[in-house]
Amino acid sequence: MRSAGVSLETYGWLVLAFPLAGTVLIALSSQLLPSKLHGYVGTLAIALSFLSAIGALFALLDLGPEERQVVSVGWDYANTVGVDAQLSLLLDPLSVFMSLVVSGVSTLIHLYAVSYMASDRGYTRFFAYLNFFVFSMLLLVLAGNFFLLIVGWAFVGAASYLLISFWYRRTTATAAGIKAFVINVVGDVGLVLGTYFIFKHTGTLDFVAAFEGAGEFARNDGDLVAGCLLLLVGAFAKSAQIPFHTWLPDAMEGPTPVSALIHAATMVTAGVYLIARMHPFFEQAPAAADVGAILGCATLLVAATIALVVTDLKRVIAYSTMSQIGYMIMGVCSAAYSAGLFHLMTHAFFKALLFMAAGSVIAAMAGDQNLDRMSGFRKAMPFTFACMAIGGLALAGVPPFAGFFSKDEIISLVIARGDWHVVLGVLGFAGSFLTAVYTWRMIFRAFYGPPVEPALELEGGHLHHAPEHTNPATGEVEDTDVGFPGADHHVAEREWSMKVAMGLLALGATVAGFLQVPQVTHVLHDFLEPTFAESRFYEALEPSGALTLTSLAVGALLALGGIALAYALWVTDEERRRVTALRGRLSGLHGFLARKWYFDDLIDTVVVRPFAMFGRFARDVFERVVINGVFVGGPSGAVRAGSAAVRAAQSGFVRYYAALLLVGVTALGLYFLIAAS
Amino acid sequence: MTIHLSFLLFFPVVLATLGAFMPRGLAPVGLLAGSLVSLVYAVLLLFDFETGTGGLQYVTDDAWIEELGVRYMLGIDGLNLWLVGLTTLLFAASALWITLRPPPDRPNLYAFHLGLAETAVLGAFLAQDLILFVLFFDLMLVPFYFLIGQWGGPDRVAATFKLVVYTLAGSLLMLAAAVATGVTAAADGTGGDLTFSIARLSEAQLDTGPQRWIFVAFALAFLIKMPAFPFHGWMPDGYRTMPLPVLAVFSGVLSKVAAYGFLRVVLPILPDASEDFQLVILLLALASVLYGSAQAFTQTNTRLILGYSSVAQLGFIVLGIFALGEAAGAQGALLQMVNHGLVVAPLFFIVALLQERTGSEDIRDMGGVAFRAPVLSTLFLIVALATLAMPGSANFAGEFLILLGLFNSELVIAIIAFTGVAMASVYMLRAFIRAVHNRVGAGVKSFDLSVRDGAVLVPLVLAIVAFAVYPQQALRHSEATVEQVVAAPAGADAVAQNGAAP
Amino acid sequence: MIFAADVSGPTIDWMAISPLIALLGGVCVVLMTGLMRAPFVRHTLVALLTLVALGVAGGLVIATWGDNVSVISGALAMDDLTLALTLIFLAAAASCVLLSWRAVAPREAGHGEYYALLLTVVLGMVVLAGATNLVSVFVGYELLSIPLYVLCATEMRRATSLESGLKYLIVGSVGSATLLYGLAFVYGATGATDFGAIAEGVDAVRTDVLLLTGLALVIAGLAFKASVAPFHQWTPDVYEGAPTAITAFMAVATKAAAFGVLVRFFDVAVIGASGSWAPALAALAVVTILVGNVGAIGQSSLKRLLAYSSVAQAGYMLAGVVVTTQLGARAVVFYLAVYLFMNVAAFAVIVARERETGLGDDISSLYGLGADRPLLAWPMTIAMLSLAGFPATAGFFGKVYLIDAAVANAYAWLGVAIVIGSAISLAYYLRVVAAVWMRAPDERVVAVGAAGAAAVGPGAGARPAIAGGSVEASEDPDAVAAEARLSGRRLQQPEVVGLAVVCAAASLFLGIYPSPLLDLARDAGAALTNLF
Repeated sequence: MRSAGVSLETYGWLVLAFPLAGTVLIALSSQLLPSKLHGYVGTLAIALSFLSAIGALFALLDLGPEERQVVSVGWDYANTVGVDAQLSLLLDPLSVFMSLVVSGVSTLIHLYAVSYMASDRGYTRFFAYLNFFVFSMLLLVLAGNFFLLIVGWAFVGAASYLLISFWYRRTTATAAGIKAFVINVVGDVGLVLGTYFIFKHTGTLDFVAAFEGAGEFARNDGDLVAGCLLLLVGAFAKSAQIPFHTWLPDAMEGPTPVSALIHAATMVTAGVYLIARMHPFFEQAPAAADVGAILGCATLLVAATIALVVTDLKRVIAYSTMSQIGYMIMGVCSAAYSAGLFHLMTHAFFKALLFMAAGSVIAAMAGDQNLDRMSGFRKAMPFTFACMAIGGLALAGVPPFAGFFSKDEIISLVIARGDWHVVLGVLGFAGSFLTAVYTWRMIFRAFYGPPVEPALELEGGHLHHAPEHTNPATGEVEDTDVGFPGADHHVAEREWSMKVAMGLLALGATVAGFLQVPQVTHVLHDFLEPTFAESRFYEALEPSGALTLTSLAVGALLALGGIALAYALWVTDEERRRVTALRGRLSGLHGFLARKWYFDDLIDTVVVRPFAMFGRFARDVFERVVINGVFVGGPSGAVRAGSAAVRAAQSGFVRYYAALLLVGVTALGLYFLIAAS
Repeated sequence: MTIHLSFLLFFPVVLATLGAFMPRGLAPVGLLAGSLVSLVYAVLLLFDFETGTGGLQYVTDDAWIEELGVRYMLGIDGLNLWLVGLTTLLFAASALWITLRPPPDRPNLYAFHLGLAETAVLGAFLAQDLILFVLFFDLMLVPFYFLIGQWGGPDRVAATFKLVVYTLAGSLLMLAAAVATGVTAAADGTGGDLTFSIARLSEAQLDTGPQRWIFVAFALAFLIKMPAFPFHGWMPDGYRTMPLPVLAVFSGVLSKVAAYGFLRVVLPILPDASEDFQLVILLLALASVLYGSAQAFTQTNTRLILGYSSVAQLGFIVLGIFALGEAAGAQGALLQMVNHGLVVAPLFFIVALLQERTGSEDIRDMGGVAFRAPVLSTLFLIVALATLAMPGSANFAGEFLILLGLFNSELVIAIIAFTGVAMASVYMLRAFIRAVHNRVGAGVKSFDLSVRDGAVLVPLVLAIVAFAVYPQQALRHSEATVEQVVAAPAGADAVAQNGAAP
Repeated sequence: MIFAADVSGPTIDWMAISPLIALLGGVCVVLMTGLMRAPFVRHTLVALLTLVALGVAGGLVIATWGDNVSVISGALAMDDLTLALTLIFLAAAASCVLLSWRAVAPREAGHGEYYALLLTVVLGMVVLAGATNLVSVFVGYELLSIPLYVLCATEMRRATSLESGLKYLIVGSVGSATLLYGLAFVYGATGATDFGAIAEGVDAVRTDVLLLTGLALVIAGLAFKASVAPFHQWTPDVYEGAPTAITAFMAVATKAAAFGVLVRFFDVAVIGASGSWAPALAALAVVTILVGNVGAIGQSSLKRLLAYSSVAQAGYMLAGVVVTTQLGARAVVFYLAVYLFMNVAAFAVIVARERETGLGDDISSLYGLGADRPLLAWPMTIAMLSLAGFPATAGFFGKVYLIDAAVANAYAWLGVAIVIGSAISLAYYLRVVAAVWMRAPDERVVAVGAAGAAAVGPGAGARPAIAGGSVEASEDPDAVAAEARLSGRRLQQPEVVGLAVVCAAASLFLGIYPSPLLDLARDAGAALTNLF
């Protein structure tokens, strides 16, 4: 039976239509409706989109497994001279799964933001942007051809730019925004070039047709490897993987809901989606896939180590995001598709949850994000603490929370790939130990220990307010009322909408894992099966029971061990002498990590400065000397010289004229005589 | 439906001339009327144009100067259809602008020159006779010479002098080349009788000897007019001082005439030379892309930022045109010409509005304008994103096709050219942020768009959006013609190309 | 005609030479009338009679159009080439009369003499242009030159005018001498004075030193008249010194006459030896284009500027002679006709401003013209754009035609030379346009100091020793203008403004529809039957 007579395609388009409509409506009515309303309009739009996604899910399930791949063409976009760029959606388990996650999490985050941003001047603008972002993300995951994928890809980048520099009076925010945008454009470029390489051979931009063409490539064909590597550039820029990760920490300049939505739950997972979507090519180009897996593994370690020392609450979570996505990338690049996507989903839940909780704490701190100044919020904010703890357990991978199953499934599958992939798996375990440590370092430092002034105030039932709004990054005073969300702040304890959002996510973070209990349930794996039907590994790659059990055990132990260590370091001993001592002993290492492995400095010296220098050289030297000097000055100078000479010869004395006349005659005469002989 | 291109062509100058004799206040109205009539004509053309046939339509072909074999020949095909539309649209916008804010000094003359300019540009686009093309191409400069020289900013006289002499020097070479083309073709191609009909000339196969020097002359004229690196010496001074409504059309359409010239004249008539010089032109274009972008994110004067960004954009267009044998490249180039015109004109109007609010055209003195001007900065944002060829804009569709064509013909150059794409995002966002974001600059008075300015700006932005949603129409119109043009120079190696990429 | 019965004189085609007769008659009538003392007669009637004479001649030219007869036993060819050029001479002379109407020169030199001399010059030009015989060449040459020397000096209270006349005389005589030698050598080499005979004889002696030396000298002599570099140097000084009306006449008519004889001599008489002289002329053309154009840059005297520009234009036209084709000849004639309109328009404006401002012909006299004198501003603008060869002006097609001729006969590089020359020429033509439109009169202050001094000459200038001349020498000729300047009243000179407007309109019209003129040029070129 068809679900409510509405076809799968209609649902697909509806999923896109609602957020877009929301954006336009909010934008056009910004002056007309009371701004409070826009929050609900935005939330409603996304909720409807989520419902349509569910509708799409059922419509998809109605179809037989082999026909669960529907392409719906809107209209020709740039369909000319053999380039078939159309507005077409591809509706299959993968895209429906992604749109469910995206629209679902987004709905909750909108709900959270309704209260959290309530007193911000840019309330309306915020929801217009937020809806536009969701639209772009859904466009990305639903796109049915490379061209539209690129469009969604870039829209997401633009939306993230707009939201990062949402508080545009902060130079730090605008700087972070342009940084994110440019790195994302680099990703777009990679994506486009990769597309060219593939198009060159398949001759089509349409996914389905192109995937069919994938089989014709020779294994590790040069063009294909190049193309896949370039696709990886796109994926890494979007997913903040080494070496394109530097924008993500800075992106924390955006309001906390933005960090939760874009920089945890959705946008940054686009890379994972891309690789999963392109698996037919990656399986033909293992060389590229391996590069991806290795870099993913590297990222998860690097990010985790940095997260150990960062003192900005949101940045800790940001680095942990990088690290977790490292797991997913490693997974999908090692053909552990369902596992990677599974972790994508669980991660979306608990990471969004963590950010929301962090936002609540930051609100209580009146905008201060520095861990060094936080302590003992446990009593003041029980609900927030509970959510933070659940999120922390899930992230650390403590059974039976969601992260536990998803992460370990990735690791065990990577190990199951055999030979050198085992190394990646082992490093993955090391990473999960670090994860547990930095996560709980953050939680213990914020919620345990002696309560700080704002915490006490909150216990006293009063919300702390800073004397003046300052930029948390630089400490400079905000120049106007577009700064930290408005005059007063909102903590989860006092806002029903924030409670609801966080509660639901906490639930998800707790139970979502049971979708895929090794050897027991394979809900997601089976659901996604049609998409990966022709994959060489999807069915084949299956860890042995022993391996599964050991990895589960090891993962659980590492997680608990990590938490224990964190407890020992940051809770048991009050003055945290050990930490200071440790930092003292490893000052070199600490400095190295604190400088984020010097990635920013490297990129700055290698890319940014040279370009800037070239620009200045062109402006100050080249333009003057060559462009105006040689190309303009040369000819005009010659002419001026000539005219000077002529005027000099024009003495005004007849005798000279007569003389020159004779000279001329003689010259002519000579010429003729020479010509004659 | 029969549309007489002569009306389209001469209405602006005629009505502007009449306007010049009206009382001061009414002067620009004549111009506005003329440009609107042409706009209506152009829109009718868009609907009436017959797709699929590469050939000329609405041809006007009358004997003009038998003695010299020059004919008054106008025609529309896939190459110039949308460019004519663009021209009429931008001139109408400019006319509206100066109607709403007439210049204090001698508005009649101002309007007259602008009308003459529109006719000249339209003529260059419509001309199907080489001499007629050259005639209009050179004529374009005259009104701008007067417009800049009399209504320009500081040291306008020197700037306009430099601009005209520099660009006309190139065009004069082209005159000699054009005459030579006809004469040589008559000598050995088209059977004796002297003709300058572009179509007939492209049938006559010139020897490579003449082709080469003729190509050089044409290429110089076009590259200077665009301008392309390193022939942009006249651009900064000119852009600095030009009145903004004039600059909007100047930057919006004149550069396109040059790029269009490559497609209309050079590729069909000089196929062999185009082959030989392909690499040279490609390298110059590439240099324009990189150099223009680097300059655009170093300059602080908004006019120059836009000026150099145009250098880069035109570089892309040339890259597409000279991806010889690749229809995608030419298609993209053609689309990009329209796109660039559509975005750069509103940008210059926005500069005028920013100047009004910040009292300066230098981004160092701007900042924070967005605070009380949400509409203005939203429009600015849309245009800026389109300018940096944000995927989803028609500009991206153009760039995508251009680089795809180039990718298939000259892989390395294409890959280097991509750095230009990334740099575009840097300089456009830099300009946007420094102008309307960040802390409020000293002496910035932020207030939003007035209806008067919206009347000019909003339609243009709507056009951009509409084009972004559905560029297919333009591509479908031009496809057939472009394929013909591209087939011309492709020659032997196009076959090789297709062999390589089935 | 009582003797007609028994005296059998040579058969004379009276109709064919009627234009000459008309001019000759005009000379006598004007000279006689000039002797009457009544102011109306002197100031108005004489000029009118001159115009009538020119008009009659013009009518007769049109009447005899297309006859293509050779008269006076082959000494003179009254063919369409001659007639076409004659029309140019007459038009130039007529404009000169209009410009002289209120001028100083006639008053000082005496109206009768002044206009009679003018008509004589025209007569000489017709003879020169029609000459098909070495002798008639020289006769025409001298008949043209000598009255012109005098005319240049007719503002006898202005030292520079006398200087220019003297200079022209001296340098001119050198030129005539050179020419005479050349003609003699050619005769010596070919043993014939008639062009037709020379053409037959020349093939035999193509490499004869005598002939070649002769050619060199002839080139020099004619180049001098056509002000081709390096024989151009008298041009700026004479143009600047001579009364502006005369300058205008010289710039157009003299050049036309010189090119008429150049075309005829080289493309008819010694066409056989073109192998040896064509390269020389081509080289001269390039040199002339360069010298003329770079020389004009930075001149602040408009007349000097136009003098150099006329040198440059001579270079362009020389290209038309070099190519030795009918196409070339046509291009030259067409260019000469176009050149008439644009030059006269420019000089008319100069004359008008000379009288209105105290600045003589200094470029600053044009400042602010665009704002308050559109009727003068536009003609000047159009004239300059046309001279520069901008499209939609006659000059554009003039250049196209010349380039066409050059390229068609494998002289593409000459075509390129022409366009490069025009590119350079923009530098000074646009400077004039800028002065008209983009400068305010108050920017003049500095200029006045310099140019003003030179310009006040006529009013307060010291009288040269040879002052005297006509009976009215005593009355201050410039009083009217000076008084007008002081009172700031706009001087009434409709004939000058009208002339400017008409010529500008003509060059605009011919820029859009040149065919009529092209037909005229075609007939003229067709007269040279020996060319293909």
